[in-house]
Amino acid sequence: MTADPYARLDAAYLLGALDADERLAYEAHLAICRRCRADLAEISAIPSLLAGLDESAFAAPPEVAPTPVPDTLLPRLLQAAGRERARRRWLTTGLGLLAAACAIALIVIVVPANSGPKPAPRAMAALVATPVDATIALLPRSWGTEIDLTCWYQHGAAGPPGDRYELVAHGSDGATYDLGSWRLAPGQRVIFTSGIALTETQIKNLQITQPNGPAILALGVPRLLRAADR
Amino acid sequence: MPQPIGDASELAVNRRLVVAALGQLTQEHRDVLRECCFLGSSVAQAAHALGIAPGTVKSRTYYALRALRLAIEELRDVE
Repeated sequence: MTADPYARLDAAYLLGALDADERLAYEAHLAICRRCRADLAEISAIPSLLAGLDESAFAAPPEVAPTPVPDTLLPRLLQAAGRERARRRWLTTGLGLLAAACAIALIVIVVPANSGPKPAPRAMAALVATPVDATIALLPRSWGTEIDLTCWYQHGAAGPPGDRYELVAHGSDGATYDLGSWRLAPGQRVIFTSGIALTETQIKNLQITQPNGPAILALGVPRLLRAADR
Repeated sequence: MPQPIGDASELAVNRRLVVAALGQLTQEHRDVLRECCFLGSSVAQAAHALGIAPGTVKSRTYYALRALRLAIEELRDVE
């Protein structure tokens, strides 16, 4: 793989970033290399998804930067890494070696239940075309996790007045948790707080559904994304 | 592994989903995609703008598109 000088060219090729010589050489190579053809096919649909996006889509999402607490629904591995980072930071600012002795106690110290900034609400991602928008903030509590939901119809768009929606969570244990339901009317902003007896790391994802319908909005972080980043 | 994003018929992925997926990439990956995709830069131009080697632009786009694909699939897959 590393011996193949063309092995990592597929993305630059698809994005039209190769110069003419390199493009022709890559195309000639594709004709004789099945592996590179397979690599290319793997991502060939992606660039068209990016076409027409605003430049703001490539900026850092606002909710990621300022939160001192590691992102809430990260995969266990990443969570562990983030906690390790947070741990070091706190240790060096004076929490001392005591904290190192007990990871669980440490988390309680690093993420105090009632002090410090609230985690910024995060926008839920649409899974289907929908007039509904929602944000969710997750707050670690001694009893589990507090879930603050805000839900509304997008400006000028609305479903039938009084349409009903439900919030469900899927735990990493495979169980589904009903977290509440509400009706939504145009121009109305529904805010409610729910809770779940799981830690954030035990929550696989959160979804908004209509009764007996498919999920329309979701909040969840890909399991393997950060690993694949490298 | 989630279903692969296959062909043009599957491209009706909600734009907000793509934006959400982009938001989960590293800033380095977003930057290189902004250069090569949004601005239409060549490898050489992107390398100059980002202050990295041309080879890094190639490998970074390589990983960025794969990370993005995975993020999109996982966001769709949570359903």
